[in-house]
Amino acid sequence: MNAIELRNVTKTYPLFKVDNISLDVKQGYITGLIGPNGAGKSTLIKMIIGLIYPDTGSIKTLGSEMHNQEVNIKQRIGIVSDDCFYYEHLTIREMRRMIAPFYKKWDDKTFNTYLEQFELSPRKKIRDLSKGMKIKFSLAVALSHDAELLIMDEPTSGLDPVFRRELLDLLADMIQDETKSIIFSTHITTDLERIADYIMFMNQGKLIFNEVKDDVLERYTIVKGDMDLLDSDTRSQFVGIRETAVGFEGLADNRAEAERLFGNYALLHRPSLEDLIYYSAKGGRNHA
Amino acid sequence: MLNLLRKDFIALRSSLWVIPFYLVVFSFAFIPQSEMSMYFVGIYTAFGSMILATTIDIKNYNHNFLVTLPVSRKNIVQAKYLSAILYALFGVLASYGIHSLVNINYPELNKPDYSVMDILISLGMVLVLVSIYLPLFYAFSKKGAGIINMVFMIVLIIMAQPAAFLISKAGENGMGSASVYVFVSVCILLLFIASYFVTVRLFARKDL
Amino acid sequence: MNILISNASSDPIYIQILTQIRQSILSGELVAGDNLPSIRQLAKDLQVSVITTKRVYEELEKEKLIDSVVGKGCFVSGVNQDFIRERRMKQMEEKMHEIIRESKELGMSSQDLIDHLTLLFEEEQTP
Repeated sequence: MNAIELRNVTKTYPLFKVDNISLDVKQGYITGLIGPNGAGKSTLIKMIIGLIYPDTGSIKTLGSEMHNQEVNIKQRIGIVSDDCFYYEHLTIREMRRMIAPFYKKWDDKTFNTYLEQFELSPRKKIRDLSKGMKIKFSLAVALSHDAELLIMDEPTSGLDPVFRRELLDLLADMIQDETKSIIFSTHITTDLERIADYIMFMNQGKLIFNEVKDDVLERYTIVKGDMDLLDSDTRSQFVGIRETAVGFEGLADNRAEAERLFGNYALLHRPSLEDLIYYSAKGGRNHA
Repeated sequence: MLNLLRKDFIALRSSLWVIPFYLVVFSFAFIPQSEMSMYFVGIYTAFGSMILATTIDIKNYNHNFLVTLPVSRKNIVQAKYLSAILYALFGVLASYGIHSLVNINYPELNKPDYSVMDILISLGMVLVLVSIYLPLFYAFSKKGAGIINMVFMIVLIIMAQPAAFLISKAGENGMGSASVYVFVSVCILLLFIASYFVTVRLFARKDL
Repeated sequence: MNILISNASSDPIYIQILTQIRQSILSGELVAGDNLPSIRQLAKDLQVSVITTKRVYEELEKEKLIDSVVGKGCFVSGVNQDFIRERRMKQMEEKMHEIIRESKELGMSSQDLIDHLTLLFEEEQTP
């Protein structure tokens, strides 16, 4: 079973469209969803969790569709989102009292352990929590009912580098169990750089690729060279190029070809995920 | 669904004092003034509590929060309608209780003896108001819902006098036979149930 | 067994891990029957993707250096010492070919090379 399956999902807004997306999120792995701002990542995630509805297409989460099995599915998923909405005037303890009864598999011991680990006092009011602490609270809740699928939408933007590393360990812990899956949308790609198993890249509402991260980073290459290496033929190699007076730097999507063309004349090295996002956004070229 | 009601209770807890506060304020406002004060105090308290609850929900993006929990949209609406009934009962019965006390302790105010019929009519009116209010509330977005709340509050204030007039007129002429009452009650119940289904329909496919 | 991943290296992470585990086995640091960490545990410890460690183990299995037992984990395979020795000989031969190529480019004769080698060999003998 795939953790999530999308088939021909489309959502149209006046100025933007999520366009005919089909993808599988594999069970037992960490899938990263990356792309520039406005690519449609949040929209996609909101459709997966049932906050908004697609215009066409189907979405299956943990094997079932939301409109059939909403409650059952949600028992088994944990959601951490950049917009965490809780009752501002309540304390963490009161929020727990509100939330815990909804989950069949809620485990207080686990929850308290996370509160301690994240240094969150149960007596603190939600409105007194910083953004980062709210996210940590969300995470504690999401991890305390034995969820099989963790869905995270930009969870790390409010977190300090220390906790972001701890988060990687937490995620790796969860994945020790190969029936658990994680999908993680972010534009702080350094978090995904190492531990993500699959990467889905979205740009302008389209899915550009959904592949094993190692393969992607091997397939693309950064080329740095002199301006005179660029002509209309060589330019077509690149997804995006940054040209300056002192040389160019570009992302090529066929490493073997790029090595053949530029190998001896330019500097080539493996791209980072951030390079992928930057150059794709810059170049505006879409390709499968 | 119990969880949803409990959730509302926890969320409302620190504001619950507002409800007795409404009772007191409306009692002072209407009891000396109006013959129909039991109606006013009951209906205003009940509906005021409803709006208080929904305002807290709006302020805290309640729906966005609830979507992350294992509840269906239908459950959410069910709980809301159930709590509306509870607010209605509370408001009306509390008003009746206060008026009974007033009659015993302050006979000089000359309040009429309110009957079970008055209770039922008050309840009916609250249910009618709720039946119109809730679908509107769920149909609109956050900003819209805030506007709806304000509109209803204003309408209630404006309609106070005309409504009182109508009710006392109806009381004078007598509403006719028992069958008329039964018919009206059934209509109100049907309206309430229809309102529930409309709201479920509206909310089930709404983008949040 | 210690595995250290270098950010500076041009080798992909998968190659680095593969090489280091292979070294540990061939050098005898890990012996037949030793239990290797699970794919997921290794991924967590190294903070890399599970698919990366999976590939490493698959490759090691292909090279017959490890066996995976369903439900129990991965173990250094009980290949005989000869096989390991043979592999190491092969690795050394490759290095020897490299040295021979270098020496030719430097214009050395085979005798020059042997002499130089003997010299260095003796240097290493003396503590």
